[in-house]
Amino acid sequence: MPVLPGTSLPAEHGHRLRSTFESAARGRFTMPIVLALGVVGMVVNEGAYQHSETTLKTGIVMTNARVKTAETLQKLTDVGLFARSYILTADPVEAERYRAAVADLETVKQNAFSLLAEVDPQRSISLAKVDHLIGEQIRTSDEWIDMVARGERAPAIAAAASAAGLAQRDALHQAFGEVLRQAEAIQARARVNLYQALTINRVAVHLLALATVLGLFLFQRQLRRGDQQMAEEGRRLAERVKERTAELTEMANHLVNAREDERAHIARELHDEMGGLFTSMKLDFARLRRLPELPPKAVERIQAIEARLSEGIALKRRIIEVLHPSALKQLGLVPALEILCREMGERLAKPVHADLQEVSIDGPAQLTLYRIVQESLTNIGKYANCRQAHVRLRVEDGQVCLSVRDDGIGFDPAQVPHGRHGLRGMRVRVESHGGQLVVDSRPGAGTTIAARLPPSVVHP
Amino acid sequence: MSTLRVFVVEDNPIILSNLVTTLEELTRAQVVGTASSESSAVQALRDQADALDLVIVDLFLATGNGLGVLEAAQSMQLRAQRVVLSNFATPEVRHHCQRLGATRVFDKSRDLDALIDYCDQLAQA
Repeated sequence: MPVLPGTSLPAEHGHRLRSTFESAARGRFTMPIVLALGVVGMVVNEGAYQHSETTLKTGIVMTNARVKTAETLQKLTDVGLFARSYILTADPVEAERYRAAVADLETVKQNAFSLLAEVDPQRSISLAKVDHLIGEQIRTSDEWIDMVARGERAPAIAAAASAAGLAQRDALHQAFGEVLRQAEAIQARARVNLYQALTINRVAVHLLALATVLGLFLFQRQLRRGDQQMAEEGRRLAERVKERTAELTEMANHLVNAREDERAHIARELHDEMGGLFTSMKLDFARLRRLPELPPKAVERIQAIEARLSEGIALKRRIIEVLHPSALKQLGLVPALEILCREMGERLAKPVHADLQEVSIDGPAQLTLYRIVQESLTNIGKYANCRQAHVRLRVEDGQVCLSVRDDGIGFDPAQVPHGRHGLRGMRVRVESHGGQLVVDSRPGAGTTIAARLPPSVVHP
Repeated sequence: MSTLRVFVVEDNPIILSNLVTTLEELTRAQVVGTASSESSAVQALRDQADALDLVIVDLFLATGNGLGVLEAAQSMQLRAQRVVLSNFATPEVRHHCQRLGATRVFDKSRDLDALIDYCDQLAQA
C-alpha cells in the first residue's frame, strides 16, 4: 500500500519535536537553562513582591493622608464654629477653645501635608492654594476675635455673616475637595499597579510550577531510562560472561583432548616403531648368542649390550605408560587402575589400597578417572606426606564414584596457589562428562578427591 | 622329536618376521600361519584348529586385542597350547591371561630366551 506523503508527517513532526526537546533536556546546557529559569522566576517574584509592598504602603499612607486632610477640614470647621460662637457670646472660654482649635488645625494640617508630600513626591496635588486659603480663613477669623475682644461685636457679626466670608469658606471647601479628588486618583492608580503586580506574580508562579513539574517529569524519565540502561548493560555483561565461560570451558576441554590425543599418538609411535625395533634386536641377539664357536669374550659383550637394550626397553615402556595408559584400552579400567595403584605404591614406597568395582562408563570417561587417580597419587607423593592412600571405585545411587583418599597433612582448598592447575584440570575434565569433582581437605586432616560421573552407555 | 606347528598373532611386521626366523632357526618349530588382528586370528584358529600345536599371542593388536583371541580359543576348547608374548607382562596381565587359558606369559624384552626354551621343550615332548 503506498503511503501518502502527508500521512506520516504529524507523527514524525511530533517525534522530531520530542527528540529535539529531549536532546535539549539531556544536553550539557540543561543545568544552566534550569538555573536561569529559576533565577528569572525568583527575580520576577521578588520584584512583584517589592512593588506590591511599596504600593500597599503608599496606599496606606494615602488613606492616612486623606483621613488627615478630612480631619484638617473638620478642624477648620471647628475653628469657624468656635469663632462665631465667641462672636455671639463674647465668652472668653469660647476664645480659648478657638485658639486651641487653631493650634490643633495647624498640627493636623502639617500632618496631612507631610503625608501627602510623602505619597506625592511629584507634587501633583496643589497644596499651596489650600494652605493659602487656610491662612486667609484663620487671618479673617482672628480679625473677628480681635474685634470682639476690642468690644466691637456688631462689626464682627457683620463681617462673619458677610458674603465675602461665606465665599471664602466655599472656596476653601472646593480646594479641599480638589485635594481629596487628586489623592483619590493617585490611590486608584496605585491600586491598578497592585493588581498588575499581583497578576504578573501569579503568572510567574504558575509558570515556575509548570516548569518544575516538567523538569521533575523529565528527570524521573531520565532516571528510569538510566536504570533500564544499567539493567540492560548488566544483562549483556552476564551473557558475555556466560559466553566467555562456555568458550573457556570448551577451550579447556579441547586442550585436554588435544593433549591426550598427542600423548596417545607419541605412545603409539614409541610402542609400534621403537618397540618393534627393540624386540627385533632382542631376537637377533638371541640368535647371535646361539651361534656355534662364539668366543667367550664375544658372548660376554653380547650379554652386556643386551642388558643395556633391556634397560632401554624398560625406559620406553615407562614413558609409554606415563604418556598413555595402554592397559586402560587393553585390559579395562579396573585392571589398569590396579596396575597404576601397585606401581605408584612401589614408587611412593607406601601402600596404595585399591578397592575397585567394575563400572559402566565409556573410554574418554575411563581415561578421565584414570588421570584423576594418576594425578592425585602424584600429588600425594609430592605434598601429602601420608602413611597410606586408598583408591575406591564404586557405583552409588546410579553414579560412578571414584575417590582417592590419603591420611597426610592436608591443605586449605581455598588457598591453592596460583599456577597449580592440577585440581582445576581434573574439575574441567570431570565436568566435561557431566560429572562433579569434590575436594575435601583440611590442614592436618588428610585429603579426599571425589569424582562422581553419570554412567554412560558403553559401546562394545 | 616332531615339528612344532606354531601360529603367531602379532601386528608388528618387523617383530613378526624376526620371530618367525628365530623360532624356525633355533627350535623345531614351524610357523604355519600368522595373523595381525583379533578377528583374522580367531577365524584362522577356527579353520586350523586341529593342525596347530602352539599359538603365540601378542596382546596389543592393530584391531582388537590378544585377550579376545585367548578367550575365543578357550571357548572353542582349542587343543593347541596358548602362550602370550607381550610388552605388558605385569602381574595383573599374567593373571588375567592365565584365567583365559594361556599356559605361559612371556615378556617381549626379558623372556625371549624362555620362549625359545619353552618351544624346544614342547617340540621334544
